[in-house]
Amino acid sequence: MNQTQADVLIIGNGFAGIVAANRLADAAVDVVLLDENLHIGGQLLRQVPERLGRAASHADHVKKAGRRFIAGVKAKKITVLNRTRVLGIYPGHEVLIEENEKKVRTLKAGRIILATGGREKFLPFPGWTMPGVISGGAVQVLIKSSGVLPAREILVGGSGLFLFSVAYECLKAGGRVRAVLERTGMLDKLPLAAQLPRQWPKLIEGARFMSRIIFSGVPLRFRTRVVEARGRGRLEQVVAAKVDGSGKIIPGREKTYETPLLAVSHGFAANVELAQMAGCGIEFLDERGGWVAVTDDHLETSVPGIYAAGEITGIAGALKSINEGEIAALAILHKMEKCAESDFKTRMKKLLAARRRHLQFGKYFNLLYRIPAADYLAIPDETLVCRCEDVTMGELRKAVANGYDTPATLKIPLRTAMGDCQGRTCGPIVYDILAALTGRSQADMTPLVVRPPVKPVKIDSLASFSE
Amino acid sequence: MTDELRIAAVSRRPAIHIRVNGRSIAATPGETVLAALTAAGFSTMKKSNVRGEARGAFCGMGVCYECLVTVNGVPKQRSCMTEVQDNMEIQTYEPDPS
Amino acid sequence: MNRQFDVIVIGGGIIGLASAFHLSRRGRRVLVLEKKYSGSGSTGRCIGGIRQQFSTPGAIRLMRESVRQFRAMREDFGFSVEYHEGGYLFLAHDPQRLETFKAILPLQLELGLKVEILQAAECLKIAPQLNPEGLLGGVFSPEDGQAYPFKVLEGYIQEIKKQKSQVRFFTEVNEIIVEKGTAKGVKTLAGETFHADVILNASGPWAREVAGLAGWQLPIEPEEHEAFITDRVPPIFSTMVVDYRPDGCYFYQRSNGQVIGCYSPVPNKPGIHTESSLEFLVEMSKRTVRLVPELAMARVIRHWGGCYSMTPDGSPFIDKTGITGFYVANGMCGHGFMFAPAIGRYVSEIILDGSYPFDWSEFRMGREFSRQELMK
Repeated sequence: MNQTQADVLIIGNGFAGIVAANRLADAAVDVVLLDENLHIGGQLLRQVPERLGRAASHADHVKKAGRRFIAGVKAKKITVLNRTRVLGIYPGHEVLIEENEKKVRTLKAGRIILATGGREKFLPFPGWTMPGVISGGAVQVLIKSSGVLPAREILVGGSGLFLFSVAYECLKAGGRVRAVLERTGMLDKLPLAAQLPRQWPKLIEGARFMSRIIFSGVPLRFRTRVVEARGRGRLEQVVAAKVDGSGKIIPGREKTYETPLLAVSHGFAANVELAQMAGCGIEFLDERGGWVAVTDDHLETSVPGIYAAGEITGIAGALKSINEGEIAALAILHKMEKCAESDFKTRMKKLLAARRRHLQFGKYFNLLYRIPAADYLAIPDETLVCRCEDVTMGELRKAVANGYDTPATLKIPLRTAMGDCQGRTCGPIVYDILAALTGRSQADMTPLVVRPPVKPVKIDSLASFSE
Repeated sequence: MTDELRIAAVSRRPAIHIRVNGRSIAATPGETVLAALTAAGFSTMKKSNVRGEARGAFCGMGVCYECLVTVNGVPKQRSCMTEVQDNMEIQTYEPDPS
Repeated sequence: MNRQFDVIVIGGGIIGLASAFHLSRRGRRVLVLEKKYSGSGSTGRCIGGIRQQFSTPGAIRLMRESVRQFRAMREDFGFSVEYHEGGYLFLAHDPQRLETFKAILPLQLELGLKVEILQAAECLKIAPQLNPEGLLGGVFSPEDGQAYPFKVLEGYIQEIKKQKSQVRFFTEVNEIIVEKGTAKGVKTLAGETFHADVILNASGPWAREVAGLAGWQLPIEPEEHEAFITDRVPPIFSTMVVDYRPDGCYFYQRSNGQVIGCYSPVPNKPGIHTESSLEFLVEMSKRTVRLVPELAMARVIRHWGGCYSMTPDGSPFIDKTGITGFYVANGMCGHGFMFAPAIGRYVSEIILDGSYPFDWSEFRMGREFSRQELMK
């Protein structure tokens, strides 16, 4: 029998979602936890599924905690819907879902927690659409969820700590890493480090990655940018160039790598589409990593009864997501009168203090690794920006020059964000490019409206709908 | 079959078989279609919509719609979000050059 | 900047831009004021169908002229607006509908349309994937078709800007200056004043409110219609199919492979609304697979709402008004995109020459609302 109602519907089973699910279930709240992925745990807690086999685990204390939350979800009275997508959130918290890419139905929830996480961002370069150029996240997914290396040897390029994590995973799995190309300089923006209080555990984890990479003899190239991927039908060569402190390419310092696989990553964007669709306010904050859901202190969005927790409120990693899962659950328990006032106040105070530290940590990295306008301005005209509709940087430049310089007016001359991925890949890039080309802040832009279905859905799935 | 991309440290259940563009390849239960295709050396999944250029998996987590393949006759399935099943029929837009 | 223009057009949708295009071509300095951006109102929400099969002589003549202009757009603009004549196939699933088609046919033929009444089997030759169940026949015009609304908007804007005219986005008019029964100019929300002796209301679903700013009453009621579009799918047929059953729908395949379509809600949904309802998403899917079962595998990638601007008799108002210098091109009843090129030309003639191109009675202000469009 399908559950058609829930006290709380949690969308996304990464850290924030599973933490909130545990806490709510402990108080006997009726919870539905759903996610589009095959397995529970989100992107950070991926592991080889039992069905496939067994892999040795080297979990750190954060991941160990995550595994305990996953075990909790499985043990407690929580309705878990994997491979289930939300297609739309309608008035009255009526949520249209699709299970197993087949069955479409609605689910009514008293409250909703949007724990939709984030996705990777990219800086386009010529050839980035070629088979053999994949995201850093894809490398991790293949290794961790399926036990498969994307290639015997990979080259890693882009910017952000995540590059080192990708290289580390690959080495640990027995693969080789040709080099790590990091666009940012090691000591660039050092002054920002003052914003990094009490986050040593994370830095130690980073140091562990680094030492493994260095001891494996992998070259680390800072202030180095991928400028082109080449190949006949699939990747064969990657050209990288040295950049100066302002991001300008230093002529004559190019290096060509022969490689079948390039993993790229340029940070993360919050998955705010469901929040937008549900009518929740979003705002652009550089220190949170871009567009994020607006919430009050208790993580309730501008739509009463809809909460946001985890990367959707700001990119800052697992600890913030755990913390926000706790906050959202506590706030809801309080609203449901399942938590004594005094207890609520003490616990919330502690959680909010911790959240401030996590946000501070996130701010440091989000500002450090923010892709500067100069990098977008340097994208050559022939480079594809929108992969679904094959829109180039040159076409974008021409459109902006003709006065089509907002996300919405771009629809007149171009089909950016109109394709199968519904703008999830090119959207954040296009907004950054618009800001770079016009010199305006994204905070002054209105992002495109998000309507249901928020993911493409087969007509026969929709036609199968019955009340 | 070539297993050189399957990580040695993972102990696996016995292989199943799927057919890709008519050719039989081995896969492990529980892995995604994308993982099975990757391990078998396929990197091209579809043609791009406008220019018809070769495209392969990119985001690996269901966002970008670049790894679309036909699965058991159903077109445009995301190979990264689909688990392999024994005797699955997969069609990429053309046999990979490898 | 100079605040004096020959013509001020209120509304930067397809009607306003087409009008500005023709007025500019005849040397007039036009200012188009658009409260958001071109395509943000009805034009960007329409599905882009273009047909000549109407039931009244005025509408048919209007569409003959529009088609002539759509055919010339590639040359006029220097790029393709994805105009394609794949035809319109209206289907009959009951004898009465077939009789209606037959009754209108002589007029359509007389006015030069290449339209034919078809048996069910002949419909299936044109659209082989159609579900034949209950199909009695249809009426087909091969010279009907489609274009991409945003490309047409872009073309008009490009050509208007080449003249002495301007298109301003994000500029909302909140006052029309009328002195002694004569329109003199407009004021905007931002406090700017622009002057012109001719003001054209092309404000789509907001037409009644905008006319009200000049003290003129327009009997126009907006209502919501919804539409969806799929991803690219392998070619089916190239005609628009219109299923007239009470639970029918209409759709066509764009030249890029996407299927786009809608149905008219019963009862109608009055007011300016653009919400995407769960009911439409599900209902449209059911109706689509019933009509063409092969589309079961197509994926819906977007679903949106937009407004029809309805008049009492289903025909627009394209005319001067009782206020000197204040003109209207409003109440398109869902046909604004296809009517626009012709309206643009003829409204410019009404304004500049004071003449009507043919018997204009069905588009005049102050007409009796006795007739009804039979091919809605």
